[in-house]
Amino acid sequence: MLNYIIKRLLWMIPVILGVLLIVFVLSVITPGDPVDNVVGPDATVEAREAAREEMGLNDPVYVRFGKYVWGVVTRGDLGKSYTNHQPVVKEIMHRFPVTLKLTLASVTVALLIALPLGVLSAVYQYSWVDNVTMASALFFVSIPQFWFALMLLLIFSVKLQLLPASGINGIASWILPVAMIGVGNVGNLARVTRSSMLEVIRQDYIRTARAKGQKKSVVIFKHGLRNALMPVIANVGNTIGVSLGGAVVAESIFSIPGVGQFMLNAINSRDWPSVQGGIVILAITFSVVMLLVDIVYTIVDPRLKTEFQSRNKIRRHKKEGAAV
Amino acid sequence: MNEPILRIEDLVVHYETRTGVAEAVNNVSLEILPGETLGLVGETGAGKTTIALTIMGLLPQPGGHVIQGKITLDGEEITRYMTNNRRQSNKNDKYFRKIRGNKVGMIFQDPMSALNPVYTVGEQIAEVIRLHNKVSRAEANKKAVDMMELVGIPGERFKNYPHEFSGGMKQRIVIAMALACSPRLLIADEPTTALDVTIQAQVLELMRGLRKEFNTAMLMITHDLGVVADICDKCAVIYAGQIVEYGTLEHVFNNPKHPYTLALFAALPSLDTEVERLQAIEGLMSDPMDLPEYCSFYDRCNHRCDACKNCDPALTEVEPGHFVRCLRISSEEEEK
Repeated sequence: MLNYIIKRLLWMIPVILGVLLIVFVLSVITPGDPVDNVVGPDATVEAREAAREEMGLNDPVYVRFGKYVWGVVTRGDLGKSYTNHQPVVKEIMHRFPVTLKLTLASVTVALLIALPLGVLSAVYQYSWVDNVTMASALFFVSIPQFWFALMLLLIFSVKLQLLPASGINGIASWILPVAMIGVGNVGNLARVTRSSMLEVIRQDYIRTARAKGQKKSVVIFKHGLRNALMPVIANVGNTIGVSLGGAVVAESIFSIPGVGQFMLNAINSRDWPSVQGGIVILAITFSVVMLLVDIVYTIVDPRLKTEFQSRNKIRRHKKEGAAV
Repeated sequence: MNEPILRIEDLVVHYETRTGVAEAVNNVSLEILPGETLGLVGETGAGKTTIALTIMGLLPQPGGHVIQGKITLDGEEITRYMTNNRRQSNKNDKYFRKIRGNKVGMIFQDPMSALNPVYTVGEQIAEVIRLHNKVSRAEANKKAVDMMELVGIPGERFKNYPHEFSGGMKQRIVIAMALACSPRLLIADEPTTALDVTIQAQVLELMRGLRKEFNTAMLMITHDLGVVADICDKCAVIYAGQIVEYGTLEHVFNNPKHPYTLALFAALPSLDTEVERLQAIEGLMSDPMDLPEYCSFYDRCNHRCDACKNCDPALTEVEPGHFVRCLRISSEEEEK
């Protein structure tokens, strides 16, 4: 198991290098000169050149990329912001917890609502519970997030004046952003839970559990749900990834000082080091989440753990065989 | 002592589906005495499993209904708790939960899928013990280990998961689970069908031993006449939801009367004679959604006559304790 985790962590390196390369190339081929934003439109040619030299933009692209990667790998340095000349790492680390909290909160809330709904609609398939749940799930998956966010703002902040429209001061201010990111996830996860559960409750071991005299509710949640969780967990991994991206929208609508808002500002001012830094951090987060998902898999389903172990055993046998 | 453990009288079970009503079990009556084993033989779809699920109160819902009949288990009428009355459903469920796994143990057909893959086998055996006995977790675990040893699986494998066992061993675990609360009746639904022949023999041997040890009555559902000959005292041949022949093992095996039973025996390969092809019974079983008014075996019967098309024969006693449902037999009896 430990070997597997180390291997996965090592695999993250080429993934992140790849992400870096793509983002870097994109920044180079995007039209617009970052110098404009640094020195202002009225600067002299000399001043522009000086700024360009100082920002290292005169070097060939591959040299710049090499320098950048070298800085990231050796010093964990993501460069300095073009606009306020602060180290990007510091800026992002200051904001990252907010984004992570927002994402995890919305996914957790979504799970807490989606799991029971999915199970209920599977157990009472074709009943009104099922029909209402699935119809609303489809509705909430389909509506555009930004529109939904604006509607939330309009109703709860402007008309009813119940919840704050921006910032993060206290629990109340989290409700709308979490609802905005979470609502699509609820629909999605409830649908996955339902279909997975539908398959599981027709299995023989469910009948065995009932033949033991176990309560129906215990049979469903103890014997059924744990088996039905696998596709749901896989989906949670993806959902966290998508929600990290969704946080960009939520943060700019609700003026939350997170990585998303930071990146959006950076994009508008062509502050490439900040954009790259943000993307690298999000990519690392996503990779770690996927690793965690795989570890959770083996906890939920013991068959997978055996698979890992036996795969290692086979490899060891092969090696020993080769040595002899 | 000779009060039967299980008495089924005139049981009718229907499945209501969108396309119609399937008449799965039609007027089945049978009896199992303490310590006795009844073999229920029939082809796929004859209603064998439906009878078993009815006894357990586990008919597939929605759709499965007991239309009429009475099932008495250990002196208590359990069909009273099978009403479809919504207000009663909690009470019914509570009643059957006490029976399942406790008074009646059940062994399922496919051991590969009958165990929950995400819990250890020990936990799964201990679960049924804790459900029906007021014991601590440790005591239940100890009992579970004892049960595992009893069915020939080392107790130290308590913490193994089902996928770490072979098919035969899994079936042993299922048997241990079914017997963990010393049930009065054990229902075995094709317990050996999914196993290799050698493992089949071992499992049957094990069940024979345990039956003696626990003095459990057994309902053995199978389509394998060899299994019946091996382990049963009585035998009921079921066709299209009806018992067509019913008697002791000697009656049915040495003196089979019903054309279906005869055809089943004719289909068995024999070691003495060399044959090119095995003898099959032509045609298919009648669709339970569309059973004929007359004898349901008519279409495939070698002995049919015109009179068969005009009546639905009743079970006739041809010798004490030996019943056959065939017009030919009942008219012979009348002539006597």
